[in-house]
Amino acid sequence: MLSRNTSWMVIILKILDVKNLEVDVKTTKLLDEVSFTLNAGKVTALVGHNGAGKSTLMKTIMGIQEKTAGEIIIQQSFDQDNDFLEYKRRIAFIPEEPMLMSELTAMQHFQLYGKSYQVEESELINRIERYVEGFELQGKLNEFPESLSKGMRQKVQTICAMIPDVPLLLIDEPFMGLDIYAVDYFEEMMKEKIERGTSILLTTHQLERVKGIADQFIMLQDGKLLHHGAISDFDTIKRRSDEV
Amino acid sequence: MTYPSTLKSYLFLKRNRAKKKRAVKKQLWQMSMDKTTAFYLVILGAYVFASIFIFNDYLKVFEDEFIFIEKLLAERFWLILSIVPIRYVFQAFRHPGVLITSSEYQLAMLPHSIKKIALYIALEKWIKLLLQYLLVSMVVIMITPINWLLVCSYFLLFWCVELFMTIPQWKLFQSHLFVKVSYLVLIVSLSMIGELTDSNQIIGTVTIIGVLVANIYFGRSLFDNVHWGRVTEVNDYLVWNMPLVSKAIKVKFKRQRRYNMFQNRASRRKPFQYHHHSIHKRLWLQLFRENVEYILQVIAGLFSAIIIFAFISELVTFIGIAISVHVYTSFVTSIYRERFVSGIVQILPWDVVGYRHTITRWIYVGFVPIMIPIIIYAIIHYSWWSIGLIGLVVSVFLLNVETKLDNMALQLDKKLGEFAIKDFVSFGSLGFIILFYLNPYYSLLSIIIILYYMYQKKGY
Repeated sequence: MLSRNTSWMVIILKILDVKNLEVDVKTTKLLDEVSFTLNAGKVTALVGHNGAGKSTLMKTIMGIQEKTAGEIIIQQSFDQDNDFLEYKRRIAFIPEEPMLMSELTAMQHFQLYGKSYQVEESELINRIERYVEGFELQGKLNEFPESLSKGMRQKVQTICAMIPDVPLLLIDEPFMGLDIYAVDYFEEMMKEKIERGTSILLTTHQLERVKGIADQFIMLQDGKLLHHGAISDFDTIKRRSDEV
Repeated sequence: MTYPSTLKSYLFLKRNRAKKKRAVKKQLWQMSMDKTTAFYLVILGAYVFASIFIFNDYLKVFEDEFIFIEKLLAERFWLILSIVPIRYVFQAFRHPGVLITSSEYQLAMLPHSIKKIALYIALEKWIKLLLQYLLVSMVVIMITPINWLLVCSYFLLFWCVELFMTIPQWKLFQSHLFVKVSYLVLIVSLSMIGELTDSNQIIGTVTIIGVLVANIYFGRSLFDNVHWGRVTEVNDYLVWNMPLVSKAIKVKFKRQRRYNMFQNRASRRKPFQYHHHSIHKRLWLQLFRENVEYILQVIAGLFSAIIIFAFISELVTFIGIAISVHVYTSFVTSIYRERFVSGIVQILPWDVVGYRHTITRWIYVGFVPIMIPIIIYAIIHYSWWSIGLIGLVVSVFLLNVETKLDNMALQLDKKLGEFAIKDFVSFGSLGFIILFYLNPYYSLLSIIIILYYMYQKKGY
């Protein structure tokens, strides 16, 4: 298990290393020569138009989408191509649409995540209690996803990914479907994770909202890395029609 | 104020669905057939037709069979009448019978009545079936000597049952499992009583009256307490699942199973015991349920194949057993892989060893039906070597499962390397089953296979 007090964030600065990443589907190039690194305890906002390749990049880092070329390495040691199981243990992912199972209740989802990331039972219960209270999900633990509203399902999915302490957290549209109180609480959760050294890569269209949390930005356009730098240097995304 | 025509909107939807399906089928046709192949297929079809119906006096050849069928159909009319509705009660466990998909349901979100849409769908179904049954009846009347009045009676029987079972099936689909089972037991019992007491005519009449009463009774509350989520989930799958197309383009049309009959059980809501076994067990059961048709098809297919091979020749039987072991072990390995690459598990760390421990028991259970015809075969051809044959098949099965699961675990970790010795040994061991046909002493190799299997298993 990756314990809370591990010192990987001190020793290893480079949490994610993406080198010359390419993803092709048939004849379409979804990602083209994308390279960047994420350092420990930093938040990077992945921005770009719809269809720029943000979600594809997330899925490729997760290993759901097969890459055509390039390397993805976590903590300078765990290569997606050679040590996939160990690699996967170091990432947690919050997808844009909740990926919950109809057969499991909210609590059973938390247990599945806890066991998959080898979180001790007592620690799991502590975290569930805290997050459930923060997201105001009391009384919903034994409900199946179909009985929950979309926002509640998103909260369940968020708690799932927040249970383990992992070096890398991927969040596809973090505030999708959450009410303003939930968004505030989620920001708190993220800050807590950052303090512990977790790196966060998130995609968002709510740029103003993440400016307070993010350190850097990566801008994708048509599958290519267009710009990257400090978030303070980030201006805005132009409309597609203005770029022509 | 004028209201838009529901019929026009429904037909617009149907036209576009048909267009999309046609485009997909055209793609499949272009992928699998060229003009030359199509030409030769037409020639072959014409030859088969001519050889059976034109150049061969098949009427004379099958005269006795036709007389027998005609006699049977005439005698058993009332029994068949009481049996046919069972099919629809049975179908009500899985299908609502009226194809309201999520598209039709969304149409009802616009200013269109769902009742009207459902009526159009039912009318379309009845007309289609009427035409199909008419065509079949005409062909039967034209090419067989069976009395045309008898054919017409059966045509009416099947079509009317289809028509009058639409409402009961729709309502039963919405009902609790207990209600469905009760109706099934009732209708099956009635048919059995009719057959045992030789009162099929009375039971048949009772069945017709029962069906008509059910139509009047349920007709008043057709759209009360409808579980639309379940209805559209099942129908979407029925409309868009095209097995040939999905095989050709290698994309599975999966049913979005959001509802299941066990979900309301209080025990399913209880938190898990916090250990791998109970969590994995639920995930496996969910995957089995999702793929139950494929699993049953493979097991039943292999079971039947071994039985059929046994009637051909001894050598074919042994080859069939070896192939069955290979097919089954490859199939369960693909199911093992499927757990990791579908649903929520794909975004979680993969405990390949833990999941493997929990599926192993199910793999053994699934092999039991395949072993049954092998054991029966061994008993029929009984000698002391029969025990050797069973031992050999079991040991080869264990070794193949172990090797294929090992390889899959490595493949999931992206570490599968070159063809290893154990792959060669496990695949080669299938040949020992065939060699048993030549000399039963080969069954003694099962001892070596088991030792090798145990040596390999130590790794896990």
